[in-house]
Amino acid sequence: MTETPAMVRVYFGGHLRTLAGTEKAEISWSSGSAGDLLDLLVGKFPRLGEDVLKGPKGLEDARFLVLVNRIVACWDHPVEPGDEVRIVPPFEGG
Amino acid sequence: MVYGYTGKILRVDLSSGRISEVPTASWDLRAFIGGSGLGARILFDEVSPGADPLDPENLLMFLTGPLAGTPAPTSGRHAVVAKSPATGAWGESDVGGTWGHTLKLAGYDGVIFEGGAPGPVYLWITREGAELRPAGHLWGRDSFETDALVKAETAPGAAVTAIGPAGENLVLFASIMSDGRHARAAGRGGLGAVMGSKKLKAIAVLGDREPSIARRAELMASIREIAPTISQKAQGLRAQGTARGVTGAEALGDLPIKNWSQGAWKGAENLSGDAMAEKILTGRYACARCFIGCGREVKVDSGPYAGVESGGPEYETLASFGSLCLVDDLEAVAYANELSNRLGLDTISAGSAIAFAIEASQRGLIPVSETGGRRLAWGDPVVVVDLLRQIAARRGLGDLLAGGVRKAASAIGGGSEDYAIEVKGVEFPMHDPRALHSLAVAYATSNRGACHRQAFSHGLEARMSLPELGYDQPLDRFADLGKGTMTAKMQNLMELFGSLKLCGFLLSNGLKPRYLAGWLNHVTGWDFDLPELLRAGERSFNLKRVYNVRCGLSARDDRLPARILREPNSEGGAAGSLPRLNVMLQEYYEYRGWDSEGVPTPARLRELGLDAEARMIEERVGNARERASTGTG
Repeated sequence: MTETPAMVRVYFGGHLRTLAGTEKAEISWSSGSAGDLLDLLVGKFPRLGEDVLKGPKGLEDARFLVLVNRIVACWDHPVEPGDEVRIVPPFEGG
Repeated sequence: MVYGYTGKILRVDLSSGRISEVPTASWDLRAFIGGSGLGARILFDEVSPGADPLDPENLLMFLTGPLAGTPAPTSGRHAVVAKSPATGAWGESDVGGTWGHTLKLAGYDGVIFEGGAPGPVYLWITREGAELRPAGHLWGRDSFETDALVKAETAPGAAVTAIGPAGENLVLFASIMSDGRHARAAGRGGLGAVMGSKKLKAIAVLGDREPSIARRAELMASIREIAPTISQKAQGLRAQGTARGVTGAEALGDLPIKNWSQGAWKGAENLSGDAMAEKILTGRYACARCFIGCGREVKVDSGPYAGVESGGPEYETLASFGSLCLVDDLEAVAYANELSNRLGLDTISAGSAIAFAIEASQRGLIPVSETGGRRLAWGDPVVVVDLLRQIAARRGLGDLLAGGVRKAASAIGGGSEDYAIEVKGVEFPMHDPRALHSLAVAYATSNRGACHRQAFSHGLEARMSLPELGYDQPLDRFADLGKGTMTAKMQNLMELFGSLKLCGFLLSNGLKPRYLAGWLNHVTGWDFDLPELLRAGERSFNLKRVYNVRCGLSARDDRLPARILREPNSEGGAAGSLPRLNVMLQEYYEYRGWDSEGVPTPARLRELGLDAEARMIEERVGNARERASTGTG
């Protein structure tokens, strides 16, 4: 019996879809934080980096929201295999 | 010498035509600061709770903050304050553009109108003074035409704020529009109807002298310190405007769809910032002293909506005329936006009224004889445009809708109250409490009726953190515990944005609250620390609440419609979620020091320096007890 590889499913919304060049992606994943996943995604989809602000200490901010299982995630939010991750533009109010 | 303030407020008696100047220092400025905080003090003292909002007894005030006219970022905003015809209680509206900034440069901190003119007039203000001019030739003109005509009669560089036909016709969600085609709106609460009731068509102002600043070098250093952070974080807002939020809101389940009955919608993509940039965007617009520049300029060159050329639809409008009515034609929404701005209608309430009418029509509650022989349809831009015209003219079905969805539901019946989405008579803004739970208690308790910007609590359920208020990271958006307290704290903070007249987008893009105290101190020479300043925010919030209590509002009015509390969406980013309003409200009242009826306690009012108001509450409670003991009900 073969073991199913550990994955997270990532969906891109709005202009992030354009930056990523795809609507969804399946990413091999064992464990880590939302920030770790974002680093991986920027490596895989470099144009996403246009909306990521990095400072001397690494990831500082991003001009989009990361939802892990519908919860808005901070960078240290844990992401587990099987989680659903959505990368979507922020809402601005107004 | 008083720094920051010009020291003068114009007072215009429209009944007699008498114009005078009142020292701004007539009021306790350290306690109420300016803008809507100062407006609360004046309205409380001068407009009786029993006054009809559309009678001459009501005041209509245009008030800047102490930072207006200085280099403080986004300080060019102004407040419009009156007793609201939509709620019959406290009314305020916040607006950007250039008008407030220019008023300050003309030498005035604000303008207070009392009485009512016998015929249409407009006010022309310069550093030399002010004069009322006849406006019979402007009556009936839309806000864009009025802007151009008034400038032609006064000065090309004047800033103009005006009502359109909706205000003249006393539509209860009529707006007051500034800056002509750029169309910045004082939209909420129907204050355009108050202006119309006074036969005041417009106010034009010209000025060029900056107010005195106590510590200019320190102010500039503070601005330079934080501006790069804000500028960097706001790049997306600058690039795509508030339209950028449409798809994100849809993903969260925050975007209201089909009169708040649907949780997801592919059509959102067609209303996004990307779509706007691709199809109709021609330029950008920034309010006075703003370096973010979220305003859009759009143009439609061809097709059925050709001719649109003005400020583009904001997020709220893309939702109200778009997703709420299932219209995904961006050019149609841009047309409805321009039409609404010309007519002087609040786009939020107008779209809400139309979506309500479509649902009521679909359910057979509106006779087809009133809707052209067939039921109103979802997704039909013609329905939106036709109803906008009918509402502004108070014609046909539009006359019913012109009173807002609460009154319309009351007239229609048939259970339509459940999907008349409003609080205290003001329609919801375009964010869903089922997706961001703090919005439930924020809408329920906002002094002006349903409002997200008077708390901005939903920011803390998404991306924001505010360590100075005790929130190091965003909160779980579906949690209820803690949200009552958080919302009250945020309301106190946002009161300061209303008093200082700064834009909330500073906060969502990295401004820390301590800068508010810093900028106020540098401009005025005062010595506020943040806790004292937040107390000023709490003071003005409570003063507005006591005014509302005197107008007859109480805990029973801190309610949300059944659809929001009992009908979860079956799909989308907030599927299955319902906010527990009662849990949040109980916590909220306790944190605020209010009783179970939602009335501020005398003890808390005294802590805030509101001694006279504390005595009023004590007398009210005493009178109620006396009535109960004598059985006089």
